[in-house]
Amino acid sequence: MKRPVTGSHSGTGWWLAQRVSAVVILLAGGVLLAAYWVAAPFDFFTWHSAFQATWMKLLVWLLVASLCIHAWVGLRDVLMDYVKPLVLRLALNVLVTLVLVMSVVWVSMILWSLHG
Amino acid sequence: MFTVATKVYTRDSINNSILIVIKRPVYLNLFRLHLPLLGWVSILHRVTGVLLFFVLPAGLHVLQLSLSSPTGFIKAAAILNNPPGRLISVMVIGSLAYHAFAGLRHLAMDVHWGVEKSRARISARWVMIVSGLVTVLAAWSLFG
Repeated sequence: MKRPVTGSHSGTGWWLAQRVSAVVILLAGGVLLAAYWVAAPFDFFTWHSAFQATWMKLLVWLLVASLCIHAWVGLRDVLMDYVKPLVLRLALNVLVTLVLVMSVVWVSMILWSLHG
Repeated sequence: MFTVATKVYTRDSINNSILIVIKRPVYLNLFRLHLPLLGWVSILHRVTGVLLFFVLPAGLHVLQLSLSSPTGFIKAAAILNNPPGRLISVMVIGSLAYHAFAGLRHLAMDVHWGVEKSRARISARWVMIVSGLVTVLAAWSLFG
């Protein structure tokens, strides 16, 4: 059987990745939102010092990384459904992938280049 | 403009008998198709998801700015505080809320909870109501 070219690996693996990342986003986002309500970091120093804690960095990183995985699968689904020309779809897929990988690199740099 | 369904006669390739194929018109004008509630919940989940993807780099930029220095923090606050910033914030909060609630509904259905049509309609309505409420509250607190 000849498989159609979709632009990425297809199957239940990505489906599961989307579900798992969704749950991580909901949990990490919920904890961060609660922390925001409790700490109320409305000036630079409380805001900045909140990001010094390792658990905070890990949680924010986990949130953004999960968002990127989740967005990658979602955007792939949308592109497969609405962009019919193969070359255009693959190009957009690559573009989306680049943006999301750069986002993870970027947030890592933001979090781990903070000076105390 | 409407096209009537037409009959086309062809021959079956296997036993050469006459086949009647009814060609129906394909009418996909999205502005005239009536989308049911469940369809709206589905398409909005996609629209908000794509929107949030586009906002992600801007969000990271504001985060970086806010953590760079006390002046950067003030600049970041100013970006979020001017009218376009507030409008985008309301849209992002609304989209996040909608996408999260519609996503929770999906996760529930993944474990076969609320899959029957009647319950699916009820949960779809709740997704609309709750996320609409969050959006109104966000707009109220940012513009009120």
